[in-house]
Amino acid sequence: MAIDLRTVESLAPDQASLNAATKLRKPAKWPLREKEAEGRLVWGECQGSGSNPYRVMFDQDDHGYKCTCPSRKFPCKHVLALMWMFADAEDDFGEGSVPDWVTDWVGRRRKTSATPAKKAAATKGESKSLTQANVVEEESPKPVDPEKQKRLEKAAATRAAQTQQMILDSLGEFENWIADQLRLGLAGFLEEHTARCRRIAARLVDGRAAMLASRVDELPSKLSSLPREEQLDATIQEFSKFLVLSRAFRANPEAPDVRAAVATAMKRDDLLEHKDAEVAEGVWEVVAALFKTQRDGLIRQSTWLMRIEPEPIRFALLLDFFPVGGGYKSSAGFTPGDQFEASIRFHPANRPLRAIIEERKSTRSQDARQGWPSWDSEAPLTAWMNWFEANPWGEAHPILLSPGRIGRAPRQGRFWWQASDESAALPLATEPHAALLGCELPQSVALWDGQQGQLLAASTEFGTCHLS
Amino acid sequence: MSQPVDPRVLEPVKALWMTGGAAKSAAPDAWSAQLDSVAASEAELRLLALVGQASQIALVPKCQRELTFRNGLPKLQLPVLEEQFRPAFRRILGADKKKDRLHRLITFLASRGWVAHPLDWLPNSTESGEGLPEVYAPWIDWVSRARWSETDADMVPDEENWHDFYPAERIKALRVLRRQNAAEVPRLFLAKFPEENAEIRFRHLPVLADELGDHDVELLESLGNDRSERVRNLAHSYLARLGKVEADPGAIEGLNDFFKKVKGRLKKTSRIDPIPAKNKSAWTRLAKLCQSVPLASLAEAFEMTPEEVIDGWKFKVDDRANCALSAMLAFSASDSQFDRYLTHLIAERWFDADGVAPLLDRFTDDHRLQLLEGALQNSDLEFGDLTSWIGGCVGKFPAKTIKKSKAWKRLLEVAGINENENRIQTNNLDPWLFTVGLLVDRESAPELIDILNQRGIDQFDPRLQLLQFNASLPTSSS
Repeated sequence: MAIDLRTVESLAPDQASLNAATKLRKPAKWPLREKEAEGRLVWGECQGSGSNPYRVMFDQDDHGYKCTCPSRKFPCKHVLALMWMFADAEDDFGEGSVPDWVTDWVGRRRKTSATPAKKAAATKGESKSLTQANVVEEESPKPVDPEKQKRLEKAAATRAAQTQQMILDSLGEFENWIADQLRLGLAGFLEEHTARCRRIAARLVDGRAAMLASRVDELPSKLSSLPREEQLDATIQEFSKFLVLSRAFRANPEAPDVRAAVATAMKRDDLLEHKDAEVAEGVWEVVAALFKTQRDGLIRQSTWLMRIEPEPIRFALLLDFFPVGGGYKSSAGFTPGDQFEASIRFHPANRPLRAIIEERKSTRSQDARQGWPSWDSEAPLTAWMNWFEANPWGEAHPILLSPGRIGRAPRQGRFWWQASDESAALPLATEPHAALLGCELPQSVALWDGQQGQLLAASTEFGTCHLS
Repeated sequence: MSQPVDPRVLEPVKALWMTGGAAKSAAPDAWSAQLDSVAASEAELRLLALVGQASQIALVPKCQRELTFRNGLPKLQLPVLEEQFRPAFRRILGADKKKDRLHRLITFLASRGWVAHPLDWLPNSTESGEGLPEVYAPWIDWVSRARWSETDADMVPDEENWHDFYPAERIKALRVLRRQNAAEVPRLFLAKFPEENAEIRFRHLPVLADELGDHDVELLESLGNDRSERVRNLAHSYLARLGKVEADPGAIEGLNDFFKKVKGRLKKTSRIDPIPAKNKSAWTRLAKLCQSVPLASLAEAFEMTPEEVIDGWKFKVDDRANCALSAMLAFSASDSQFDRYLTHLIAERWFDADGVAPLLDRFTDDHRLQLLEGALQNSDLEFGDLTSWIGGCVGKFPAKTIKKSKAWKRLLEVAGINENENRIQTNNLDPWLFTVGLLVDRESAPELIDILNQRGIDQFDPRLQLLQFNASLPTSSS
């Protein structure tokens, strides 16, 4: 049963969803819109407010659908928008081979007979109308009462100032807490780090310093991953980062990178208009897609991009957070190894790293994949040190490794990457895949956090291997 | 970049913080300007910032112990699966991780001339290699050992280099040696088995199955006292195949309760017919007898040759007797007698899953091909019954043969059932379709997929993954 506008209307849970969907019916928001040649599947990627696009798909036969956004409305505005655009202008959708993430979804939906998706039950007293949604979108903004506008702006400024003060107060409390840990002895902190970090993180959350709170909450897990003899040094290093960050915020709370590290990052729309945001064009490869469930109930999705053309190589981090239990699956993100041409816009910072995809121009097919450019075998931590000097509270940065291989420290049991000429060695956080052990690795990319590295990708005799 | 600080000067500071208390007094002189001009509490925090930042910049990781390295994962004789086919392979791999299903998938891959990408699949450390193509022997050894020493691909095992090999590679090399110089292998086993554990002895013994002969008798008789029952039984079986085992007279006498000699229509021919066992304890006795009395002894007891016993056997009389005879042949028939039995079984169209089971270990791929062909054409067996018969015989059957089978008709019936109405029956579809995916040849696979799509099995249904993989995967050019 083909999708038509009536179907879209009947599937929508409410008018608000249609209103939201109509705002998404702009091709610029959809770097990908495709359909199966002579088939029933339609899919697309919608650039929402997150760094990673949402993947949206539906089945024309039975109107089944899926979107990777965390919305609790079914269908969400992205599904409605895609269906709406398809119903309006199917020819605008290119024909493509069904991507793995659509195949996986259809495979899980296995059915032997098509059962149409349920039409949403109408909310009592509410009608749903595409026409009405269009009207909402087309309506010119109502003239603004200047007095009211002034009052709104003043209220916003007051709230912002209050928030700022709350953050400053919580940072003051946090610095006192750090001083207390030193005074009482870090041996005691290391015995009780989970409980102590939990308590102070909760205070930071109350004080609106959410991002910093999350880092503090994750500190125990980071320390526990290290050998005992390294935990003291790591604690001192992390505390020093927190302290430097706190002072940076006090000195300049409006600095975007500092604010993002303490409270919240700039919204996508604001970043797109920010005059100081750097934009880098090129061919980018997804070197890793990392998912971590945090203690605060969020899943942190870190997608690491590496620009392979033009040189010099640089990195970008797409960072998103989703609630646990929201049905989010790691398969919804980019697949490591994907390559595409894009403009990447960086959040303003010294030596920026966190970014969004401003515009995705094309995706490289498997046949057209490009190899990695060669890189100089300078000391592997030089890039980290240069970045860290400019971002002294930074968490982790990718580093390029020259020819080397992975060995094991006997008795300690820890794995290390060592340069082939034995000029450098770096401890690894986790045991690498068995296939890499002993293998010559002409090129590798690792994520270095100041204490240990995590291999993200490596070129091997078996081809380029992505390890996340 | 900041002035580097010798990390050793920070140790006293860290030690004080570890136990608790102010550390400013232990701070390096170079930092006094930043610390002396502020209050004590602020000085501690500044010192913390300086120490932490200096550590990040100045400290270069150094492993205190010399690292040990493995040799890299060995290259196998077949190429690694090309990148474009890996996602489909991983999907099938991830759908069901049962060992025998996994082994069949790996065997299928090898039949097309590929090995799995090691990041998608590596044998695990407990893998003995049974059920896996021989090409994986180097990986099996590599994964199971902490250290691995190089063995030359052309190295021939002998007494000196025996322990330079790890088991799977050694077995592979011994099979080659066996074909070149059959008698050398039992001689090596006689010399080296005393140094090996039961598991190793048991894994090596099947090398003798090829070219079994009188040169093996001394070894096999010596294994009659082996500590391992499995080793003793296998050695006994090989001796029986060579006609070197005499059955217990009491056991031979017992056979009269279950077999009788019948004169054929032509007076010159005779055959042995079963006497159906009447109850469970009788069946058990029959089964036990047939696992200990060699075929040669049965034949001799009735004054016939083993070949006459095989040729005259009527499969349509008693299934339990058939199964018992199969067990007897499995352990004691010579290779030529075994071939003869299989040919007769197929000609008589006796395709019984229980009856064939004891024979499976002795099947070559040729045997499997004949049996499967016979079963597809002439039996009521379902695809699930045939799975264990496939072994290395993958991708051999055109759609024409499969479509004619009763198993295929049954599969289509079940495919037409609404899954929500009868999950018990439709649950069979997954293993059946997996088996069809193994059996059908590449050229015919699309035809079967089309039929199944028309029957309502969606093209994206995971149960079709192996068929689709079969249809898309070419044979490697290596």
